[in-house]
Amino acid sequence: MQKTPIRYWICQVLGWGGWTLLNLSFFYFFLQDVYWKSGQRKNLLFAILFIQFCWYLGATHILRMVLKKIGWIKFPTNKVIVLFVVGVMLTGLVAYYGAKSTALITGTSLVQYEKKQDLKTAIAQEKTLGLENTPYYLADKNNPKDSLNYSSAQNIKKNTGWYRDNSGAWQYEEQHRGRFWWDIIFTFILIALWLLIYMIWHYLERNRKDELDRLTLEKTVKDLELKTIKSHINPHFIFNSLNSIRALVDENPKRARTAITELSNILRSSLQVEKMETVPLSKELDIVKDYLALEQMRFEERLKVEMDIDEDTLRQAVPPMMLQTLVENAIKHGISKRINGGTIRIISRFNDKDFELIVQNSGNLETKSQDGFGFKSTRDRLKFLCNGHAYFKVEEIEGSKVQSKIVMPVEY
Amino acid sequence: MLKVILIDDERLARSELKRMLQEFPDVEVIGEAANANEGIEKIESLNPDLIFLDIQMPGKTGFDMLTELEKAPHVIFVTAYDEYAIKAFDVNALDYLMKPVEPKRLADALTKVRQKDEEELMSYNNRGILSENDQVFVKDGERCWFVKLSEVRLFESVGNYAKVFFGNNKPLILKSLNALEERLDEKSFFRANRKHIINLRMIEKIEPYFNGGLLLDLTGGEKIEVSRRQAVKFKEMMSL
Repeated sequence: MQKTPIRYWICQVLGWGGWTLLNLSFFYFFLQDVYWKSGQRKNLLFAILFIQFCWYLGATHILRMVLKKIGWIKFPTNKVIVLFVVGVMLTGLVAYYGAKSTALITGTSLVQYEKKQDLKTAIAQEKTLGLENTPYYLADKNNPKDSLNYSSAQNIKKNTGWYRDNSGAWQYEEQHRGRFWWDIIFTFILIALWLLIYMIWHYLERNRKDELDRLTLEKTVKDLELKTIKSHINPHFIFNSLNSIRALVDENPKRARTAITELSNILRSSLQVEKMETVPLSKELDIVKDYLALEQMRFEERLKVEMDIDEDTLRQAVPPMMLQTLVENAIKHGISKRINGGTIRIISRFNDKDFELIVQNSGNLETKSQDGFGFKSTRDRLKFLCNGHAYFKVEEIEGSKVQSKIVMPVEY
Repeated sequence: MLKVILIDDERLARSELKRMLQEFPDVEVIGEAANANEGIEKIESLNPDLIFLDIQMPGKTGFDMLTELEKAPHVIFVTAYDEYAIKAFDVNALDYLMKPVEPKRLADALTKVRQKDEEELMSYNNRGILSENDQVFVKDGERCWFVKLSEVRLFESVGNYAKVFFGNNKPLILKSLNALEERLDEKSFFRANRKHIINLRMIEKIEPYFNGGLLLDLTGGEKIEVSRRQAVKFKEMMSL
């Protein structure tokens, strides 16, 4: 809204300009005799149409300013309807009386001109009927003698609107009473049309914007999720590993070299995650082994690892980096919090028709870690991949252990 | 000579830092600790000038450890990339190094400590009593501070805790008012009543109060009543 005043002005000028032209052509085609033959009338017509153009444009512009100021777009429907009616009335009155009084003040009023013309006609008619300077206007309606005079006076009044009062002074009485109402209702209709277009435009615009906002938001959220899943390797882990490796360069160069290989493997596979939907378990296990080797380098005797992998499961397809995430969480929330460390145990097996992948660690379950990003993303990924046929649970089990368990169909 | 203790749960991290510190002839590593409890022990028995402290440790974090110390030594935090810790450091303007530590940054951090140390070694006093220049580490939820005792206006007893008033903050520390009173220098701190210990340098106005007591206005706007018994003592001290 804020950015398009140019477009708004173009619409305003074209709209009201078009209306003016329409008016003009109406006069040209249907009332040409009256308005084009007399130069005076034509000039007045142009003037009054121009004044009207200015007032309509100005009044609707003020209406727009007020609407913008009160922020109508957020109003409830019933309030908008009231606003619509009040807006149309007020703006219509302003436009109508504004144009009318401007015409009067500047002496360009066509009505005023017609009145003057009519007066001339009235005097001329009086003359033609030979009634000038006679008190015909005093004729009594009920006196048969006066009936001619009376009907003459009535005729003049009917034709021109002018008549003489009892003192003989010319008076005017509008003969087409309906015309005023016509004009004002017509103005209202015009303004209502304008406001309708304005409001519909803005409603559509807002809907389009809302839709756009929603789409952008959705896309951002998706991108963000993907990125976070992609960069599952925690920077904390990377820098800690690098620090350990630096210490090992002097102490145990051979171990330092293997550690660099292990770290490279993890970084490489974390970069490839996005490309694959699933990987064979054997591949995922390679990464997890490298990861655990690096963590063992850091935690030394505090971290013990046990693997209980059924050979047959090695070809099972699993989402990449999922086991890695579980192991990482097990270390972060389990081992690293315990002064004497603990054991990580990985179990992979078939159970009836299902494949089970279990990570156990020493420690107690903190309730809040359940809502952590790792758990949520694991759950979401499983849901997405297996269409709800997979299952993921974290619980505390006997002997002060925390177990995360994934159960998924063997084939999916 | 700077006497240094390293506190980190990873042996390799400690040994790497120790190796780096060998480059500085005026730094001597007098002890190492693998967790917060060991750290407290070592600090209290060896009285170091400076500690290098990891944040994430099993059992207790480095921040928790500091809050348990009576008096905080100079601390340089050492941590691997950790968004939350870094935020805490930046907010509280604490010294920190990131693992793997860059030698240049280590040198800068040590220079900063030496400068600070010279100012404060001048007022070095016997252990036991906390001087004005001593700092305590205070943690209140996410926020933490090293507060010099000279900046503290008031300690207020809240059960087993004490509320420490300094600047615009008044966090809680897990220390009883009686324990504090024993350790604070009575030249600067005064037990005004059962619930309050005030910093004598932070008094703005003294007014007589009911029952021969006194009412003290502190610079922070707090009004503290001095009990009758303590008022006698207060007047004695002030008249000297």
